[in-house]
Amino acid sequence: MSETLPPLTAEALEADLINEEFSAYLYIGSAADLGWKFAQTAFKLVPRLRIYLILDRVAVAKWAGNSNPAGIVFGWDDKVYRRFDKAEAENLQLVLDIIAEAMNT
Amino acid sequence: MKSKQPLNRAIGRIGCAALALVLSGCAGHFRPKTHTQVEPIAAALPPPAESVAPAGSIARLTLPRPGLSQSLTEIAFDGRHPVPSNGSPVNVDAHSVLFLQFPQIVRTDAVGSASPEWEPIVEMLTYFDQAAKRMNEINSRQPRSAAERKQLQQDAAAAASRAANMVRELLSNKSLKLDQVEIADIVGGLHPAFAGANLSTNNGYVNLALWLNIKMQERRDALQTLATNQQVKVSVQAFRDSNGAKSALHVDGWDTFAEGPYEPIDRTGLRPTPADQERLNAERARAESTKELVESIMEKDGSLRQTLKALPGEAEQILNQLAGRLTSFPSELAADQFKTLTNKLADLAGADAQSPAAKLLGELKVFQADVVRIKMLGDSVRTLTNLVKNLKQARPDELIFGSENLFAQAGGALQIFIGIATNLPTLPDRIKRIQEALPLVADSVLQGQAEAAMQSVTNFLGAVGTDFAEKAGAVIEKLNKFLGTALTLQVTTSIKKPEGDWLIRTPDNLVPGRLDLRRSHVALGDLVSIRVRATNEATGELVEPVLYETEVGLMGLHGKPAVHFIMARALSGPAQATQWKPNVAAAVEWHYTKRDPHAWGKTWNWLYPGVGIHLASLDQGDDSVELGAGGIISLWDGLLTGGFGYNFSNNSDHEYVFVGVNLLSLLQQGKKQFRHD
Repeated sequence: MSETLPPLTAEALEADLINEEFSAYLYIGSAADLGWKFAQTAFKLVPRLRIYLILDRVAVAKWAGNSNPAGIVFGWDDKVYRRFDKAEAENLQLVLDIIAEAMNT
Repeated sequence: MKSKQPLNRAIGRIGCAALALVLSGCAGHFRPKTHTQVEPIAAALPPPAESVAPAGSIARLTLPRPGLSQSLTEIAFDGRHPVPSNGSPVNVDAHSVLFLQFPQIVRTDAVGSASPEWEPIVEMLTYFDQAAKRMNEINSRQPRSAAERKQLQQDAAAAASRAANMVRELLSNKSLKLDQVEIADIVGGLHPAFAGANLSTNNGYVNLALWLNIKMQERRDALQTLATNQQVKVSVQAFRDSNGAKSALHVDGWDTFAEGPYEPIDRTGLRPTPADQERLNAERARAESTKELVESIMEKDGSLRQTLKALPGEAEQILNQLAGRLTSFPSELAADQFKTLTNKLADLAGADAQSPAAKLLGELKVFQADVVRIKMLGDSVRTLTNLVKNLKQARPDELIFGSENLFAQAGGALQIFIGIATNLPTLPDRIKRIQEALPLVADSVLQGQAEAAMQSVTNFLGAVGTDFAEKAGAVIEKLNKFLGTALTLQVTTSIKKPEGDWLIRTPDNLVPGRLDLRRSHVALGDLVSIRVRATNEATGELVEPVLYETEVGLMGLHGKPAVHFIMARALSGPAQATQWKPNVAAAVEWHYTKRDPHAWGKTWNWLYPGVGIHLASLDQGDDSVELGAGGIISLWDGLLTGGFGYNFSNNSDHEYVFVGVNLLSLLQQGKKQFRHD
């Protein structure tokens, strides 16, 4: 599942994150970014992974911390497993490795 | 939008279509070529129990390029043995038939039984198919208990690990030349190759399979084009290299040469064939002249010793003069200069082989080879000058037996010098022909470039002088005399070709080739090579340059006659008898060669030890003719020999020992060393 926030709300996102049947990856940027392209690649290779394009950074401040990340990886719950800076989010291999790690944890 | 589309059927169709493409692409005389295999990257995460990972298939995956399929098999008394191509020479039995085939590949009717070159592709398609099904299955699950949810998480996590590893291996396979963005484009269905294809919007494995399918289709089309292209011409040529002399051999189906008489080499070594007799004669001539040479060197104040002192000095002087003149040749006359010219001429010539541009192109290519030779001549003159200096300084025993192997090196260097120097006088004629042909090619820029390239060579020829051939001839004569015929192999610049010609075939008319070594006048130790070439005459592209090289020997237990130069002495008696003296011995040695050796077997074949009997001419007493006989052992095909025997002459001391070297082998070793240097 690929969603964009907005129109998705932060509340709906939080509800999705606590669903233990899915893991999640948030990409914070624009639809034209390489990082979002790689997020979509991960979605098409990894089952039970939901990806979200976050256009409104403030809406995910709760999970973003202070590091101004470009990507946030979750495991099977709403706990942040790893945050990516822009360069890391534009590394497909790293994105896939960390998503796999988060799902195996 | 959740991935709930039923893709299994589509994937199955793609898989079947892909396999069908593989199978049909393999049919005919052509096959895909694979390149160097790479070990798969170790998984970063532990593989799940139900892993459907490609098990290294990605690492082995290469997209095939069209090529001619052929194989060479040695049909021997002990079975059929494949001969590898484009590698070091392999030993074949002198009684064998070498059989060249252009096989139809038909083992492709099911997954797992496709021809080996295609297996990684078939495995990958299977993997993509299974991974796509697995992804759909996991995505469609609706767990109803905590246990089912746990299982779902474990299975999804395992699939994620496999996905990460798959991408890692795709990236590390250099032959695929994929980067992360390209992989993302393929998975996302955005790759340019997908124009008009039926893509999946949420299952990347379907798109990966589709991409591989498209790439295979491209190769299949190329194979089909090649197989039906009448412009592609195939030739098969076989050659025998014996003691430096090269001759063409008959291959059934591929030339019109007459088949030779049936002359199998005797396995006992007691009845040499005419070809083996030639080898023995050459060995004997070299052993005898080396004996004379060493005798002269050992004589105090002998005439040859005086000659040895003087001749290299004269040769050195002339060589120095030549080296000085050769420095006028411009080193910057680069390959690029000719490349520009020849490319342009090739464009002008097009497919018309009779056009003035095509004729000029032919002359220029030979001219370019001459230029390369001139550069080599400079190198060989410098090498020879240094060697001559060393020859002057070395002791006679060091010349032959020293670790530097100076005699052999000088012999090798001299041959290269002779080969180049004898070709040089033809250059002025070639330049004249090119100058005459230039005005016929209506391209002023090209004419100017060609004139400029030739000007440097014309200047050089003026500098080396008209007496070059005379000077070079003097060096050759003096060094030849100095080195003795014992150490200079016959220089052959041309290939001896029987009456008849080679046949050229198109890919739709390939026939098996058969070379019967028993009818090829080969001797033990000869190098027999078979060259398969497929050239696209329209483009000039060499589609298939394959070379099979074999060395003729005998497998299992066999005898081999040989003639050795030896240094022998009596075990007791007066000084005249116990002094080491040069002699010649004829021997028959028995060897054992292992077929397909492993480990110590390889060492055994490398040592090629032999045990046998010998008959030697000796010089240990007052008899005019002294003969001795006894045992002999040898290593490295007679490179090193030793033995003992009984002198039948009327001396009081009959027992003697000897050590020896096979100078032919020694010289060949020296030549190899020179080439490597």
